[in-house]
Amino acid sequence: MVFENKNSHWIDAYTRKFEESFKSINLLDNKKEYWRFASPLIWHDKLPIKKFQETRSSQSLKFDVTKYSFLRFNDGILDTETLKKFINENKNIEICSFKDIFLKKDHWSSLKFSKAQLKAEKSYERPLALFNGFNAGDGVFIKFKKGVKKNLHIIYEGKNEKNNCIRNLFDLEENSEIKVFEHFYGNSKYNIVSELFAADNSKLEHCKIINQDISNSVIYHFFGNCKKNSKIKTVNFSFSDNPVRNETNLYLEGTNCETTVASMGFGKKETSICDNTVFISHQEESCKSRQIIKNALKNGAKAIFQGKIFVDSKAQKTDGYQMSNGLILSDDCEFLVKPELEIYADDVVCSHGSISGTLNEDHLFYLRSRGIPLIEAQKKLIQAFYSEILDEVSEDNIVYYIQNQISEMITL
Amino acid sequence: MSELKLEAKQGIDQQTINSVKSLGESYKYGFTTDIDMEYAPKGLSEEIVKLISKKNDEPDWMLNWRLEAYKRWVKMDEPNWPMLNYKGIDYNDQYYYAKPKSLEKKPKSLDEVEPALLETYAKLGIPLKEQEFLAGVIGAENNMDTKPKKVAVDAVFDSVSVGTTFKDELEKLGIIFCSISEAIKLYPDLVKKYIGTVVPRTDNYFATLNSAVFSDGSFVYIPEGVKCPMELSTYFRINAENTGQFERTLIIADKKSYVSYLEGCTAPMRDTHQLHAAVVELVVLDEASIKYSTVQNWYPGDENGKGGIYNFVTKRADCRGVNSKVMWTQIETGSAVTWKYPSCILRGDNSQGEFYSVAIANNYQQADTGTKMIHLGKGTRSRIVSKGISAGKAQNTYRGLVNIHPKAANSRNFTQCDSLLIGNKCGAHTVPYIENKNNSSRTEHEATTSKIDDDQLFYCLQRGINEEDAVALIINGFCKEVLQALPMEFALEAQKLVAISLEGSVG
Repeated sequence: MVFENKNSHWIDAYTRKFEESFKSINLLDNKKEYWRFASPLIWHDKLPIKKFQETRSSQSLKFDVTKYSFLRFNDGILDTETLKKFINENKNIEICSFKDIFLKKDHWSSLKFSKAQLKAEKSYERPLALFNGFNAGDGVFIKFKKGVKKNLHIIYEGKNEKNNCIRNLFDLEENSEIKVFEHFYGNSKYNIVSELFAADNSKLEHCKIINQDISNSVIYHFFGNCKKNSKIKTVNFSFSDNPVRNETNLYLEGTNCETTVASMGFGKKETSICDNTVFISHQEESCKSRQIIKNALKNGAKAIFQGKIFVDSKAQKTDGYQMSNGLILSDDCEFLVKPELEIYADDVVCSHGSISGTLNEDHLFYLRSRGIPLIEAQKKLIQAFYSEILDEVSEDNIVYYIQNQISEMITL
Repeated sequence: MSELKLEAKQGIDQQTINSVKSLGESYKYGFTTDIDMEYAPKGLSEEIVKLISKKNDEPDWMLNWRLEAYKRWVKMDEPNWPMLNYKGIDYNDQYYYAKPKSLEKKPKSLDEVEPALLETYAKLGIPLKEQEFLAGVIGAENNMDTKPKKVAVDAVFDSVSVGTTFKDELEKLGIIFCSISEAIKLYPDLVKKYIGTVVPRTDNYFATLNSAVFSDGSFVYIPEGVKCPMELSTYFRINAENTGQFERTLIIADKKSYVSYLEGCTAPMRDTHQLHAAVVELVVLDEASIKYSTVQNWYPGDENGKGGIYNFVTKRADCRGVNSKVMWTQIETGSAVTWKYPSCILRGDNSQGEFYSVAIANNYQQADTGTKMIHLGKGTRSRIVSKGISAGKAQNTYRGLVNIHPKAANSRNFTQCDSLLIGNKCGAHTVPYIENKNNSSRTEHEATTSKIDDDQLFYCLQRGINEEDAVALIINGFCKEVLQALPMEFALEAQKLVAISLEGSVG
């Protein structure tokens, strides 16, 4: 056990359950469909954790402090200074670090904790989320009360040589409107599980940026339960040269939900694997879901997309959409996709598309014939390729930041 | 008009047309023929494999080939990954060999042929002259009329091929079209060279089972530079109860040759499930081209899911030569369970693979079908058009793989798979795998799932077309791209078949 708490706590039952389930899974079983393209060991313990070394510092992301509240994780532990500041500034938000929950006998999160994860485990066992379940060292549990509007910026920075397991829980009450930006810097290895409970009419814009100087693997599980009229958007940017796996599982449990999962990856080294595994389950009528995945690949990088839209027989009038595009810029790259539809209702419109290939010769020629040098023309086309994802982000300074990152990477 | 013309050309379609006219009939091939059969004992063992080999009078190398497959099969597990839910198959409760007794000695005229067998062919709509021949009447070959539009037929009844038509005419061109058991005896070198090279004995559970116990099937060899002047057709029928049918088809198209091959299947209505595990191997050499069309209409079981054929088929084409081409077209309307992935290995540079499929599942039918396109050669192209229709309580899955190898530069793939749902108790699923491993190739994939468009339906109803006809019309439009890829003879039959298969599923 990670925690030295002698009294039994309500979380302990979950922890034991996670540990038992994890031990029953054979991670070496390479026939598992869920791990068809990349072994779990990549994110678990196969790759030795690289030592910290000072790398080029990417530009940092500047936020307007008057609009955003900050939280910071140092080496996987929530920084108490930022937490205290957050509590003082936001009276209508209940916040507690995962560590501190063990000090409290009762906590509002006991009704929600791991409910979203366990629901998702029913469709597939997710061994690394289970591993997180009994190894999480810290995290943040936040309850946004009814009607709250809040912008939150979470920074993960680390120099340690450990596998940092972090567990977050976001509870959005009715009519709340939240933006969460998560930003990964530094060198640590991460295994993160975030659970989301979105009540009726709530709205979430979740954006995650994994910088290119991250020198170890990151696996991020996002489990969400969405109720009536909720609008959930999650956008992932991954520029890492190391394996990144974004797992997004959303259960649309109320009518008229809208969800968007957008993901963009730029892999430029052989070690780079960008894996997006998305599972959207339509359980109720008239919900809408969109998945947009874009990956550009260079120098032997690999991109994986496993997406599934599940439509229950109750979920009539579903509108589901799934698009995965791969831009293959050099010969040894791999773009592996499996966009799945599993549909049990008849009055639905579900579609998916997938295109992979290299930059269009005609487009390049058009630009060059107008006097634009090759590298600039390529840059423009790559930026155009990503523009659909950037359109999903409402915050301008993030858009600029990403654009700069891309142009920096193309010249690399 | 077209129906009349068709009647003159092709007897095969007539019965289909008639039965479409008679409403209420759901499966027209469900009759049973009471014929004295000769069975091998039930169950599967090394002895049975030896017995089948002996019955076919096979050389030792073939027997050993079978025995090795059997040994391998015993150690294998039945695959559980498809989205199919069926009761386990008791492999020991099946007959692996059944043959109509009347075929033991050849009759001299149609009068001597067992009437029941003759009746079967009549019901299936095979023209009289061909019936004579298929029943094995001596000299019938010479009586065959030689109208310009011809289809050579090889009929397989339970475990054995009962006859092949137009053999002489084909022989003049050097084309070999016979049952595989005959080919093993007459052309051992050809068979030995190619059998198991496309679908190895160890390929998968059902292919291995087939390798051990296949009793008959068709063999086609098209020599260099020959364009086969007529469609070759095989007709498969499972008649006897509790009998599994395991046929093996091997088609070799030598350099610059062309052949169009049709395959049809039916079975009587039985309450118990029957097993069908076939293997089809196509070898395509330089600049050759094979068009392989299937209308699979095995008995699908009744409205309550009782009975029906379990159809586990491994079909694969190996485009070995440069500029070779394979085209798979399939209409899957029958079988309680279908597990079938006709594939193309595009090995030769600039080779081309195409796959057109309509899979219809009604009542309790389940279909898990699709294709695999494996691009190995440079400049290879593939095209997949798959249309799935689910009605009643059926589950229909498209499962496909497009794999572009790092060395397959400048390859292209286009995939379109659409599903149509009729009613809210059925399911339509799409599981494509797309793996692109080089930067000069391009893959495109699109899929949609929806129900019958209300506007289209309204348009038809408003013009006085009743609902059932309107739905049939819309569905035919939905499948048009695939139906057009079929040879004429099959296209019309398939169109009617689509309508029959979905009868009673609307409203």
